[in-house]
Amino acid sequence: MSLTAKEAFAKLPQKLHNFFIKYPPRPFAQYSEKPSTIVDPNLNPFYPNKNPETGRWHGAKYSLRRSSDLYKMARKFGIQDLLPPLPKKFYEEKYFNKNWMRGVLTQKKRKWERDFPEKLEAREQAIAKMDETIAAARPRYKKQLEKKQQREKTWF
Amino acid sequence: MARAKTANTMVKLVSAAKTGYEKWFNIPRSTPKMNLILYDPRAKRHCLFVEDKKRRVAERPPKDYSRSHPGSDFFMGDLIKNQF
Repeated sequence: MSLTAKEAFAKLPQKLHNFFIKYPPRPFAQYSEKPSTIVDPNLNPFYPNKNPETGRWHGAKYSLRRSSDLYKMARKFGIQDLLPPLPKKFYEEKYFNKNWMRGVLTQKKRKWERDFPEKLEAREQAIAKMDETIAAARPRYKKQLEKKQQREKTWF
Repeated sequence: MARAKTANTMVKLVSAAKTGYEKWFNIPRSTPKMNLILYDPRAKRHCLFVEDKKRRVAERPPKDYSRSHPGSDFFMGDLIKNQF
């Protein structure tokens, strides 16, 4: 004993039911996928829309919170595709295509963290050049170095 | 009235290996600019240590490296000549 479309529609939760009365499901009505104008026949209630005369934006008819609520409710019944397109992603779609924040992807770090590699590099170079710096200040150091190298025992 | 200057100053020597290792010395004010070769444990070798801050140093006349010995340019003949 299966339900007719009308009976099924009557059994939907109140919020979804009222929404579909105001904004018919997708095969029967078209909705734009982006913000458009308030006089557009394909006005999407989940996006903000512009008044072309004044140039001012109207907020979405259904806030992000309410639209998420409707989507999740519709998904339980498997009718989420009947809703107009949403600006948000959910569940698997979100997991695989998440919009990461710029500051999360390329972390700014603290000033000292940014400068640290350069500092270590400078230190390494200073140590590598130490013999030259000492020789510049103490000319006799060159002779000392040469003597040391002569005295160094090799494997041969 | 300004404070009288002490005979010695504290001087900080910083490693030229840029490890941040420092050494302090209490030296007479008149000593010229110091640089010493000391062990830097962070660089694990002996490094040049140079003074951190500028300070006023007693002026010394510059060294004369010409080969003349004081009194070496003295010629007895001049003395004798002037006598006569």
